[in-house]
Amino acid sequence: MYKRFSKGQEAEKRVYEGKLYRPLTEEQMQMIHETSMKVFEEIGVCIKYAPARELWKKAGAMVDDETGVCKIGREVVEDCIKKAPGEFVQYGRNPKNNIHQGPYKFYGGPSCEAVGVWDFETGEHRSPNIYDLAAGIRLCDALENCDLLQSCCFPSELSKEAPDLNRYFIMTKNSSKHICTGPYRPESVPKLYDMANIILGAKDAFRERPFITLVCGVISPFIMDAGWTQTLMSGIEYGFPIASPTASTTGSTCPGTLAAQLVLSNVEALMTVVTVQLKKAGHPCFYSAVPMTVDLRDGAFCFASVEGWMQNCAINQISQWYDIPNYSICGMCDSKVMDTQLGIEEGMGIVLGAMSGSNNMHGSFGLLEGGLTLCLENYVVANEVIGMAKRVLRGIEIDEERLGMDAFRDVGIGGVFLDHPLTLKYARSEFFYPKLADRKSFASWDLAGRPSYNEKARKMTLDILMSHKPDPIDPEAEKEIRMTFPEILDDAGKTWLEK
Amino acid sequence: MKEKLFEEIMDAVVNGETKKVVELVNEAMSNNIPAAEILNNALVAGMNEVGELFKEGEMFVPEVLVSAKALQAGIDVIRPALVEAGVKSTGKVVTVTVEGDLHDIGVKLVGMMLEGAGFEVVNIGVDKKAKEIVDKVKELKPDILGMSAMLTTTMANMKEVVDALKEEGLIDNIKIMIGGAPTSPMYAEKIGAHYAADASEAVAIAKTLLGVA
Repeated sequence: MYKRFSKGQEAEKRVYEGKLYRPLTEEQMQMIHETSMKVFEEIGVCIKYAPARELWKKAGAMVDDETGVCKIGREVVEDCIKKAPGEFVQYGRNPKNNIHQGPYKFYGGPSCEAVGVWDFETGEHRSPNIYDLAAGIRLCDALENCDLLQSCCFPSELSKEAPDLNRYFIMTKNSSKHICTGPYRPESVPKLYDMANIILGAKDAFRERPFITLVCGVISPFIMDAGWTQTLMSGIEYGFPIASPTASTTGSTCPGTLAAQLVLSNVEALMTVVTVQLKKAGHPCFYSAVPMTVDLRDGAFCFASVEGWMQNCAINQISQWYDIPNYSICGMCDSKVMDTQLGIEEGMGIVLGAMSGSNNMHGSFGLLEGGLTLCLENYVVANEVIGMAKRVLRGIEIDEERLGMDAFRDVGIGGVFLDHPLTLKYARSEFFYPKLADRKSFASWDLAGRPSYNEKARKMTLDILMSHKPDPIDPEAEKEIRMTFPEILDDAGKTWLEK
Repeated sequence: MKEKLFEEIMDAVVNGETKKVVELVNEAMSNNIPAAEILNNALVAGMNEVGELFKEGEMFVPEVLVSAKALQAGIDVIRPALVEAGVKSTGKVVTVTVEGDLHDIGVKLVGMMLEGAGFEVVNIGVDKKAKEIVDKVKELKPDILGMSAMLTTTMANMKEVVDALKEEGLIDNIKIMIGGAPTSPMYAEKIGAHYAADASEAVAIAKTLLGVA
């Protein structure tokens, strides 16, 4: 009926490039690269999984099978950098959610395995459960600025021995976006492959549409853990793209300078790239690093320090120099509650990350306390901030029409432009309109009952959870999955509202 | 057939399509639909919808202005017929920006929305001294005087106008509304006026003050 205001629901999603924040000069990147190569040649890295060491050996590395230490020449490293693809697709279970990875492209999502949650109804701080995980992912599915999914909490009902099938099932049941999360056990990889094929409805269909990236850990300094590396190699065999972040902390797992941390991060990011490319040249993988700082006043691990932002943005810049998509963090908060600290940390972190071209910027949605506490109201906040960051990346458009000479002629000196066709034409597209920020005068705000930002975020969160329906999994497929993997809990996939 | 035409006029008002509004209103007139019905059930109804959409944040200020222009064009077509039929407006409002203040975008927007709701609105300009305003009130005999100020320094002149109206014994026959960035419900209460936060609210308050639906 009101044609002018049709929201254009199926409008193509715009992807923005971030090339605005460049923490390093060309010379500095060169120095980091040179020092990294020296580390590879002189000190080496420790690879605890024998089959991976074999690949390095075959490529010409000096390998000590007793200690696991592998030293490798720069030619091999540089060759693997070239082989790693600069662009690839992270597929959604639904193709509309495909993410095209490439230089500078800004994408964001949640992360981590929070072990605490602020109960949405009672306000108590407790252990998370499967309903919380479902709710977090449901919100990700609904929010337009959440591009990639990660598990947001570790549900305490799940056994430590076999949590993986439940985790992934809950995630994919609540969203058809790409899942970027690691399994706890290498043995889960073939099972995930099977589950994914059942969902896609055909044997080996996952190879055409790998909708899960496996995130494998690395231990600083310079260790490729056995279990994680086994997962990494198995993942490659089954067609999963790979991310493999290191999370060094200045002064503890790396020397206490930003430069040294960048060298360490670079070596660790490249050692996994090398392993992936030696296993299968051209396999999609990320240049992954999450450099963080320690507050040396008391040893606190910081996820939202200024240096942490700078370092992760430097990682993004180096990845662009190597032409490999990056996996890093910005926008995660140290705050325990949704307060001023959170506003500052989330605001600054997200905008800086976006401006540096973060391809897989995880950590901003839904998390507090450095990723250890889940807070459902924080999804819509991150969504809003990312919207603002994207507006920065979009930039200022200057063209003949927008320069407004015709408008100046039409309206003249001392006139008003509010209803001029130029203003009207760009009224909606030129500006980012926040849904949560309040811009009323004091009188209006007072009359409206002094609405608080957090209350609005809460209401928006509840509205989404009550109404949003993700793309369903075929009921027959779900039946088959539950039969094949009986460890999947009955309520897996439900939010607490659907209990 | 009439209902469908009214709906089309409503849509055209909401979508700010001036030519279409004029065309459709002319069509309604040529089908002998009474001007008052066209005014209330199509044009004003359309502007009410605009008011709702604006309040909900679905329509933005420039779009409201364009709709108001389309509405005006429609009213211009039926005005002679309205006068002939003796159709009364919902009420008469005089709007003004007080002494020392040149801002009038807001008060003009209020005027357009009030006209959309069927009020007769006369805007007497900007930077008007209290005496000038009182003289105009005597001349035009409005039901409501709407005053606007953008600056805290000029806001005080609103009180001066109210005092002058009291002195002249005019206060009992007129309702006072105020608006503008520095104004507030507190200030309105202090000077014996009614505050409206925006154009949409102004229409609601004006209707309440005159006891109309």
